[in-house]
Amino acid sequence: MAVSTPVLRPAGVTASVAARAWLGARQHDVLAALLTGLTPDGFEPHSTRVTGGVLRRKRWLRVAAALPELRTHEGADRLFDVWARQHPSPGCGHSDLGDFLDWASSGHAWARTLLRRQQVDDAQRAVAVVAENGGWTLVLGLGDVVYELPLWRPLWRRR
Amino acid sequence: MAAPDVSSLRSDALHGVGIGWRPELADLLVELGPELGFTEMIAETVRPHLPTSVEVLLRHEVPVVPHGVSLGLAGAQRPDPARLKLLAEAAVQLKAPLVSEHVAFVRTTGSATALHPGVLEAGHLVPGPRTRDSLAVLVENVCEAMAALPCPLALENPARTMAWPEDTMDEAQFLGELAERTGCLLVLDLANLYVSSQACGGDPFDLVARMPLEQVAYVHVAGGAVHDGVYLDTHAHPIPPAVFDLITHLRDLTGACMPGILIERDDHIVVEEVREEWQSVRQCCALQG
Repeated sequence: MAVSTPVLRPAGVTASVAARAWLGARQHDVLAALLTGLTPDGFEPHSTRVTGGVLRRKRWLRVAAALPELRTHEGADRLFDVWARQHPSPGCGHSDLGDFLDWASSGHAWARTLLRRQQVDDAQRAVAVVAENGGWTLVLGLGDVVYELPLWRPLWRRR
Repeated sequence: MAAPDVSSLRSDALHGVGIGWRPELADLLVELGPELGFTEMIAETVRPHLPTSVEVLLRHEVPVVPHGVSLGLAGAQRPDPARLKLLAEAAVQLKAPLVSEHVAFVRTTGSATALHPGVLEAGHLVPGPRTRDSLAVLVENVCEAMAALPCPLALENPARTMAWPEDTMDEAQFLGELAERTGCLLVLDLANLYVSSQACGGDPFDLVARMPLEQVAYVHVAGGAVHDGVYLDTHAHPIPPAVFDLITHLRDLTGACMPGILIERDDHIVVEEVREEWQSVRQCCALQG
């Protein structure tokens, strides 16, 4: 599908000003479509779907690098992709992590646990009690250091 | 097609075969020492205190190139002075012979809507359209960047997994004119050319032959894999035979003036695998006879 050419340049305006304006608008629309899983105007659907997937996958890898435990929860990457399509990123991977966990908490217990842990790491709260591995752990932040104290572990674990 | 004039190839291009610096590969790079042609560090990770391995390489006079990933020179915005300053400082700290970046955009600004905010970060390098107007913007951005840097700037061709409907030039034409109008150097990424040819068509061998080879400061190679029917430059897999074929092609075109080649491996790093690849690329670059 043909796409319209850049707008005619008003008299007195240099070529690059009009070119920048058009390029900026077009790149913004294309990137927004890629990040949300849509096909930008004039693009081939399959290759843009794959390209958008690459961008969201890179975003997931940055978040997983910030909190490696995230990878241990099956389906977390697919859930992140759903969230990422709805929330194109204006900022850094760290803010992505908190925002994603906050969103996922409403439906997933593991996300609530990780969110509380992350909030202690970020000094947003001083203490959290998290349920994990069948027991309970106290997570305490003091200055730059985070301490963990297992409160209770079952004697037997079901395999 | 006439063979390129190799007599005009840059004498100050990097030479030999290098490996991109990653923490997991630090010991290997130190072990290879002076045999390592050169290396690259992601510019945004260069800190006042360099890793010990990088200091050792510098003592062995192994060139270390700061490789930026966040300038977004192919975007509509002018280069960010703060990011340029960081890139310049990295070059000074590493005593780098040149710095490198990409012909790509990484962020956009626009009107916020209910669907997306005013500023979007791609989180990765996104190739832009190849038109006369986009080239004019890129030329201005590159000239501004070059004026702010203490050493030459080399720009890398991006991996294109999708084609812009506006494109009126191919990669060789676009980069050739960019280099001619700005005097910038190039990082010829053979793996990215392969990705682009698989996704968008075109003959990568023809593109290599038509590139302004006299402006190539060095070459990138990397591995990839097919995902959902599209070959991606993952930098996490072995270099495929097709990319080795492009190395051979470049060697045949440039002969004794062949620019240095850098192996990129970012993920699923197996040190012995990278060492073997380094040896294979060295063998591939060896001249016939």
